[in-house]
Amino acid sequence: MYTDGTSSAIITSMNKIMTVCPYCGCGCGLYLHVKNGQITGTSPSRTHPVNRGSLCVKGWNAHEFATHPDRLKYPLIRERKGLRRATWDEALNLVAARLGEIRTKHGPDSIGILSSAKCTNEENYLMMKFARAVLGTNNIDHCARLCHSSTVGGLAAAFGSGAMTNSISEIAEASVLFVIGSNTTEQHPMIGMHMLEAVDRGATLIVADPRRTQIAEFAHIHLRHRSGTDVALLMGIMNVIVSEGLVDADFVRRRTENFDLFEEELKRYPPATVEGITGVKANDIRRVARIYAMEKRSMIFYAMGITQHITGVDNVRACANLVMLSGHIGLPMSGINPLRGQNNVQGACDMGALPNVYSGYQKVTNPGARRKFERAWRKKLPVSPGLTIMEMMEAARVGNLKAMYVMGENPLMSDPDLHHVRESMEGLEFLIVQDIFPNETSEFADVVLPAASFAEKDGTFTNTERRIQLLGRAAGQIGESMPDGEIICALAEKMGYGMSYRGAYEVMEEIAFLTPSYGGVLHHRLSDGFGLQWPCPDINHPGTPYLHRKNFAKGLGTFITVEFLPPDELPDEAYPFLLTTGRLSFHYHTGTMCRRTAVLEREEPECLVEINPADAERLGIRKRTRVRVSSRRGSIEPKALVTGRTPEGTVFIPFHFMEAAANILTNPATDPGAKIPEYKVCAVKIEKSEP
Amino acid sequence: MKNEWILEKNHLSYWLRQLRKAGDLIGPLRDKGRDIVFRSVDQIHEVVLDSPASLPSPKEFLLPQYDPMLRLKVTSDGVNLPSKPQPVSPNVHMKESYGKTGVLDLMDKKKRVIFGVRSCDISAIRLLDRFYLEGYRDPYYEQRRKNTLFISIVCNNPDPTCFCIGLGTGPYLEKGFDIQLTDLGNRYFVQTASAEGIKTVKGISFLFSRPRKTDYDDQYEVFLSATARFQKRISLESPRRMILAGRLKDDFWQKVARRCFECGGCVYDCHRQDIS
Repeated sequence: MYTDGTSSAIITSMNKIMTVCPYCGCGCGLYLHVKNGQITGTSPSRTHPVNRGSLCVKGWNAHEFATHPDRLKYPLIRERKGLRRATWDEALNLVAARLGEIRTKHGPDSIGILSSAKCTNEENYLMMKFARAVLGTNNIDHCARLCHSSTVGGLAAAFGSGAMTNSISEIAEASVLFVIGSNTTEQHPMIGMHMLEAVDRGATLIVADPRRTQIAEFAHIHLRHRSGTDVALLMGIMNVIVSEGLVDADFVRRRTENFDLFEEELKRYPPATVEGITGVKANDIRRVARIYAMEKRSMIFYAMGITQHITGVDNVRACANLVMLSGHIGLPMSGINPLRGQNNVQGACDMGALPNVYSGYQKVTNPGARRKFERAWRKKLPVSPGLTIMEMMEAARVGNLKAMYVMGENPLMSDPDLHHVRESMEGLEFLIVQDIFPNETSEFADVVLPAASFAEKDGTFTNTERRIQLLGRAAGQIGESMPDGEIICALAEKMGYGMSYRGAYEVMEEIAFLTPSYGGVLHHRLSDGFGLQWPCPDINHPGTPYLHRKNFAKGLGTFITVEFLPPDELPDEAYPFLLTTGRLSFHYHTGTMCRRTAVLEREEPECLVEINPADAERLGIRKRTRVRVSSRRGSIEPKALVTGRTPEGTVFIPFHFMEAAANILTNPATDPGAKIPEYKVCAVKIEKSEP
Repeated sequence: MKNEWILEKNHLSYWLRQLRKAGDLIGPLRDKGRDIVFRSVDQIHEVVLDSPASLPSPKEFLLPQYDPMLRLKVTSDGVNLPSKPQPVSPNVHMKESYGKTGVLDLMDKKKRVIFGVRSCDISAIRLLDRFYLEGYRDPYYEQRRKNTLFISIVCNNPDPTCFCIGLGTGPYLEKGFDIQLTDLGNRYFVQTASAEGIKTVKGISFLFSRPRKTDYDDQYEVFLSATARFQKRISLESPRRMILAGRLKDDFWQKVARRCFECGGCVYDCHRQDIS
C-alpha cells in the first residue's frame, strides 16, 4: 500500500482559494484560507490589478460573516406563531402555488421582484429570466435604482453606455483627478489608494464635496458646495471653460452633437451667479476649470453625491458634458468614472435586472431584442417596462402589487422613508425573502429561503471597472442553504418552466449568446489571470480597458442641456438642518454582513450623527450627547459626533444602523427619469434627547 | 564539523516528499498564472523555486487570523461532560474529548514544514520569538513554533523594492534559521543552524554530500552578486537619530497617520496579535 496518499493530506491541510471580495465595487482579488473545510482567514492578492497586495478593513475580514452562527440554515414558512422550519420541497411548493395563484388572479404584473447586486451575474440573469419568462412580468429591479440608476440613464443618453470609462490601474498615471460626490478613500479604499499614488506622483487632486472627507484632506482644491447644487457647480466650471476658450473645439466638432443649444444654456451660469447658488468662490471655480480643461489625462470620478438627488440624471449629464467639452474621453487616463457601490451592481445592471432592459441593456420595448429573447427562452415576453423599486413600494402600499420576491436585499433598511416601506410590506399578500441572514425585511416574509454566501458558490462578479471575475468556491453549504441560482431554477421547475443547467458556466454560455457585450465571456477564459473587462464581443477578444475609443458607443456623444433645480426638501424654520446620509469605512450598507463581523463592529459599534461644532454649541450638544433627529417622516435618536468635517447647517448620518436607521428620515422624492430617491438632502431638526 | 551540505537539485523533490511524511508541507505555489501563495503542497513539482523575493508573509502559520483556543462544555448544571464530543473546529480531532474538566483544548499541534520562505521572513519570525517567547511565553505560539520547520532560500535576485541588506536581515543569514538553501545552479548549498534542522538533514543524510572547495567558491560568488543587485539602500540609523533627537515635528506623524486607511492589514501581516 502507498502511504503518501496526497488525498488525506489535502483534507487536513491548508488551502487558499482565489475569489473576489463581496463588499464594494472595487472588486479586489483575495484569497480565502481554508483549513479542514472551514474558512479561517483572508489575504490579499499581490498581483491583482485593483488591490495589488492591499485590502481595506472589510476585505481583511470578509471571511468572518460567511460562517456566522446567524446564517439561515433551512427554509422557513410563516405560520400563526411565527416562522417555522420547513423542507425545501414544502417551501418551494408553497411559493410556486402562491405565486401561480396570484398571477392567475391578479395578472403577472401584480408580482414584483427585487434581484440582488450581491449575487452573481449568472444568478441575476436567472432571476431576470424567472421574472420575464416564468412569471411574465418586467417588474424586476435591484438596488442600482438607489445608487447609480442616474448613471445608467444619464451616461447611456450621452454616450450610449453607462459604466466607468477607464480602468482602475490607469488612475495612478493620471495628471488631474476631479472627484465629485465621492468619499473615495473610505468607500472605495483601493481606488482611493490608486488616487493617492497619483497624487504622490504629482497629479492634482480636486475634490468637490460639502463634507471635509478623508480624500478632501489630500485635495489641492476642495470645493465645499452646498448639497444638491452640483449641476450649478458643474455648469459654472463649464461656463469658464467656454468663456476662456479652453474648449477642445476639434473634439466637440468631430465627435459630439447638440453643442450649440447647450452653449446657450451655459451662458446663464457665470461664476458669480454660481457662487451665489453653491457657496463656492468664483475664483475657485475658475481655477478648477482651468486645471481640469488645460491638463490632459484628466479623470472625473463620482459616486452617490452626484446620483442620489432628484436631479441625479442631470448631475450625471453635466459631468458627461464636462468631459466632452474638454475632450477628456476615449483615451487612457481620461474619462468619466462612476464608482459603483456594490460588488456586483455593475453586473446586475449588465444582466438586465432592471425593469426596462434585458441583459446588455437591450430594451424590452425593442421588438428585435424581445424576439431574440422570446426565441431563446421559448416564451412570450411582456412588452411594456415594469415597475422600479420605488414604484413597487408605492404599488404595494395601495394594493396593486400583491406579492414580492426579494433576493439578497433589505428594503426595510435601504429604502427611503422606512415607515412607508413598512406599510408597503404589510400590504403585500405574499412576500418571499431569499437571503443569507435574517434581516429587517425577512421579519415580514411569508417564506424565507436560505441562500449561499459568496464563499459557497460559483459564478462571476463584475466590478466597477467592468471587470468580470470568477469566484472560487471555498466551502461547502451551510445547513440546507443553496446557491441563489439553484433556488431560482428549482422554483422555475416547480412552476412548470424547465430551467436546468449543469453549472454556472452553462448559464454564462447562455448570457454570452444573448448579450453582445458579454459575447466572449466564458468561465474557462476567466479562470486564468484576473478576468475580462467588457465589452468583450467574441471569444478571441482580450477585453476593453477603456471605453469610447475613436467613437462613442452610440456614435456621436450628445450634449444634453441641463438646468439647475434646488433639492426637493430644503431646510426651513421648522426643520432647519440639511441631512445628508452616507457610509462609513467600517460598515457596509444595511449591516447584515459587517455588523456580524467582530472587528468592524468593535471599531464603529453605534450610530453617530456628525454635527458642526458651531451648531453643536448653539444647541448645547456635546460629544456623545444623545440627540433626537426628526424629519417630517419620523425621528431617530443617535449620539452626536461634533466635528468640523460637516459644514455648518448640515448633519451627516450613516445609514447602516438599524437601531437608528437614517432612512426613517430620508425623503422619498425621486428623480423623474431614473426614479432614484434623494438620499443626500432632506430637512431635519435636532434636539437634545430626554435623559 | 560545520553543518553544511550539498543537495543535488535532482534530489530536491524526493527530499520534500520525505519531509511531507512527517507533517504538512507548505510551499510557494502559483495560483493559475496569478499570485504566488503559500499553501499545502499537493504536487511537489508545482512548488515555485524561482519565485520573486517578496512573498506573502508566512506569519499566518504561526499566528492565524482565526485561532480557536478552547471549547467549554456548559449545561444548565454547570460544566458537564458530553456523551460524544463533536468535532467542530479545524483543530479538533475525533479522538479528543472534553476530559474531566469540561474543557476541550483546541491547541494546534500539527507538524508543518514550510519550504521556500526568505531570509527576511526568518528574521521577522525571530522578532516574533522575542515577543512571544521571552518574558511571558505564549503557549499557542510556542506550540506552533516548535512544530514548524522553516526551510529558507537565499535571494539571488532581490526585487527592486527589497531592502533587507540595509537592515541586516538578508539576503543571507549567518544564524537563526532552521535550514538555509543557496541556489548554486544545479545544486543547493545547504546550511543548518537549529537542532531541528540538523536532525532533519541527518535523518536522511544519504541525500546530502559534503561541500568541496569549489562549492564554497560558488556560494561566495552568489552571495556577492546578490548583494550587488539591491536597488534600495536603507539605513535605519539616521531616522532613529532624528526621532530620538526630536527633530521630527508632530505634523510629520499626522501626515503619516492621514494616509492610514485603518485596514488592519499590518496586524495580520506584521508582528502583533489581536484578540477579539
